[in-house]
Amino acid sequence: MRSLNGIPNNFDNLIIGRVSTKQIKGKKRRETIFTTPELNYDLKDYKAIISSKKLSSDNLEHFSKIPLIHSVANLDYLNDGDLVLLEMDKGVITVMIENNSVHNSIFATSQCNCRCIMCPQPSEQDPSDREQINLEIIRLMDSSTGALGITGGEPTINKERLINILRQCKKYLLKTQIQILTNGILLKSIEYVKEIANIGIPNLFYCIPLYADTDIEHDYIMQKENAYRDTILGLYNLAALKQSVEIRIVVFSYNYKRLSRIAEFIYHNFPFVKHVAIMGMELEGIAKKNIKKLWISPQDYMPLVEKAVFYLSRRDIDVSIYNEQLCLMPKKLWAFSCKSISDWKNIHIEECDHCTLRAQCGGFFKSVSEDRMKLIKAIRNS
Amino acid sequence: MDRDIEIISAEKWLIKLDKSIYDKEAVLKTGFIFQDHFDVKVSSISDKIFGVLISKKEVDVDVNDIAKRFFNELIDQQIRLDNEKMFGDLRKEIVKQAFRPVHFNKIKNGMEEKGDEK
Amino acid sequence: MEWKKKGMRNKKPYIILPYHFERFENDVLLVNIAGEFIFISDHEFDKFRRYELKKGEVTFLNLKSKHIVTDTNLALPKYLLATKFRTKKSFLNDFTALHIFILTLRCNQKCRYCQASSEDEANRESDMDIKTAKKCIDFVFKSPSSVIKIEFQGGEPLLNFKTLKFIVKYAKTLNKKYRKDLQFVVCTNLIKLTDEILDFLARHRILVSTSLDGPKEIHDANRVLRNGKGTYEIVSKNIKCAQKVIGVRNVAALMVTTKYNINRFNEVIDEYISQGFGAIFLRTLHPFGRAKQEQKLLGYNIFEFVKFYKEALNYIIDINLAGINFSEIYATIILSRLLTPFPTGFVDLQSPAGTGIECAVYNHDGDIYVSDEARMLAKMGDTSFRIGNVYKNDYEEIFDGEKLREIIESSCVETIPQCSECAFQIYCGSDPVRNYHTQGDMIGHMPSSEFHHKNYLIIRHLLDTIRENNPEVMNVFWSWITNRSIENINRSKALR
Repeated sequence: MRSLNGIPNNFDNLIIGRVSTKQIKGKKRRETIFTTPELNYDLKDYKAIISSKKLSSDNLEHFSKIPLIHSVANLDYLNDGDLVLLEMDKGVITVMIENNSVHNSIFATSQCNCRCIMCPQPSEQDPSDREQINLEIIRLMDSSTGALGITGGEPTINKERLINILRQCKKYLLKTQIQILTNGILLKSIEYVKEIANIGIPNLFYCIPLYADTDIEHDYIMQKENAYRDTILGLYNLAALKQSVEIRIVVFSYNYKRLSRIAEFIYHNFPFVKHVAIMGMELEGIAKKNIKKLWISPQDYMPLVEKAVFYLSRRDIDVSIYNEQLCLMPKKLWAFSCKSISDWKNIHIEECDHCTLRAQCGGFFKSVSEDRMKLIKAIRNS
Repeated sequence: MDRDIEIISAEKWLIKLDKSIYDKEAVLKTGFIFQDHFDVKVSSISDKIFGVLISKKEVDVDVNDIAKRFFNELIDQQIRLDNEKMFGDLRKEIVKQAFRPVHFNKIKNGMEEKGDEK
Repeated sequence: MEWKKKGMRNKKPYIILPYHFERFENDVLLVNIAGEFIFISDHEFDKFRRYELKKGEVTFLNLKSKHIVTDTNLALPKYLLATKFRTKKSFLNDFTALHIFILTLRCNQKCRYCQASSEDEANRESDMDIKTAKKCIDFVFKSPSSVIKIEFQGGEPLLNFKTLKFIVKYAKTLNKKYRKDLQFVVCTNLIKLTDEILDFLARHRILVSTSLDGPKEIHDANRVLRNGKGTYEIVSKNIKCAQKVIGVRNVAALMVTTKYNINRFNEVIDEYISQGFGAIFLRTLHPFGRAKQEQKLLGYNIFEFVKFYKEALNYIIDINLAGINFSEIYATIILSRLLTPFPTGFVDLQSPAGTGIECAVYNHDGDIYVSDEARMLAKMGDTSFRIGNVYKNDYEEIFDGEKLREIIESSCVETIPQCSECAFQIYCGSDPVRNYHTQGDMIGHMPSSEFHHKNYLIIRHLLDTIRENNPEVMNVFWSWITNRSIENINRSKALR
């Protein structure tokens, strides 16, 4: 998540609020964090203020009654409707929900029951108030938000927490598609699935990774014994209770050669799947450490992605390619490629300035590798 | 050699088959499939060999071609017979599992729990 | 691995799970219990059987992925195979869905190969009366099926339009209580099509299935009026009317293969396309009724049929590749069985057979038969496949009775000689009535069965084509199976 820094005033608590770059009136101020370059306004009743203005310790006297973080650079990163978390003791501003993005997620937990060799999540401790923060975020979110991901770590690890999050979603985000990103292992208990289903979220998706069509290989990649068996049992429980399932395949050196076979395995064993996502690796965390073992060039794997995509498309299974760039795939795959990278992860490469398809392209992760960058070529006349 | 052919006449052959490799049932099944072409009679010659008397039914037919197809079919029928001995019971178990009545509230993890976890 | 831990060193390195096989030139086709298949080479097949495949090698992983071998868990492949097998057979879940009503034996045509019957137009004794129709519909709604498809046949069903109207209205009334997915089809020669009839068909969303054997010369060779005159002109005209009033998608046509069109399938296909049809069913003639008496009409054996069928299929594939969406129905059904995990409801080719449990025929006099052929056998004096009468028996006596059970028990390919070892069994089926009629008993005798030869050869041909794995051809096949365009598969419209 995007973070900004500034100098806080005398408050030291955690604050969550909705950004507004313009003045607003009345009761709405209570949940609003006014973001402004100047401070000569009526600032009463706002939840907090963020400003790029540099204040000295003398001026601070005037702003002692309301939480304030000043001297913030890059104020224009913050947009109306964004939900931010202010750590007043450190002066850190974290954008938890971006209003303009379709890829918002909340982290249910950092804990995980696996240790995938290409996991991009850095391992970290769960802050003690994570649950409170999450519930508050959901409460403040715009109810017309299209989609919200629930990720981690492994969200199913703490059942009570997950159920609370989901109940909160049902209460405040009835129109939003809630996507639980889970390995499905703990969903091998049908009671667990029943509990989630009974909450009654109208638009609920489970996004579950499958990395191989056989157990030894999948378990190795997840670094967990019986992961394959348990995930499959979880998938079948979800199907039995008519839950919506997406299967994700991250493509890398260990599995790219069998991509078609994985697609075949999915079609024959999980024909109820609503969507399949074939994804490029994100090189953070453990993936970054293992990059030498994991890296395979898109030039090598794209023909296999093509076979898998058309295999599924023929069978009327909705399939998308995530995290890939248009210039690295044949034209016939463009219609399947999605802009899947959350905007804050996107970075800028000069070659792309000359590309006519820049707006439609998925872009890159911040962590994009040198090897990939070398392959990028602008598409000029399209 | 697991098989041996003795030509009796232009329309009749005697094939000797090793009993340890071929079951009588495989021969009869092969005979069943080829019955438009051959009459097939099976009998025991010794305790190690049985004899298959083949009489041609049609007049203008390539004997070598038909004999070759007969033997290939015989090998495959024997494979099928051996296979059924090997996994016939497993097949029945799977079909039985497929049609077991479902008591939804009693499903634990959907699989059998009685000790076939390996 | 458990077995290693237990110190069983000379145990096999993997377990072979149940499969069937069939040889294809230098390859071997392996089919698992659920009907998933894989081609491997002869050489690999031998290695596989001798437990010589290495665990990391591609063929081993492919077989493992298809649940034909396992070296780790046995419970999981069993569970998956059981689930998939159950899915394949789930067409059995709902019981009888197709109910055929013989509204009359009268017909205004006298087709030379007619297998139904075609009594004189004036003889109304063979019309189904309202009282009988009502009793039959009461029976129909006793079926537990959530889908009820009522098909009107005859003779020519539109000659008894009065009873047809009654049935539609009465069924819809009953359905207010039962709330089933209720569908109607009328199998008509479209000779007598009035505005009143068209209006009724449109209002009640009744589908039309008619007969078109090909262009005029072919069609009129066999499909004639009682005075011997051809029917092509009027049928073509009425097809257009029907398409206009009830929609092109709701009018289908069937053809019958005779010596007049067997070597001219391309012309028949062209005729179908020009008349606006989206599909054709290349059907063989059954040796019943008048067709049997007029053997010279057939003038072809089943092997000839298969030869011309394959050529026609290639022609249709080429048409699709040129941009026209047009399918062959029989191929589509077999392809669905070969390539998808889903069941296909096709009563003429399934195991156990569809006789009675998927399809029932209600004759004009209230007799119930397991299939139309069963009814024709009765006309010839053999009532072996009459399972009851709506006036004399109740539903349970008929549909849960000994007679029907015996028929069904004789129709499982899994227990029929030669079928039981066949690699195609899960794609195929059995027809106990046909076997009985042509060969003397319900089980049948495959080596001499035309039914077997046709299905075996066409299934094999389709597998051969799939083995070639030409992506363009596979696109065509999948456009048929999923009933959408090739453009849709390629998302061509979404491309920039």
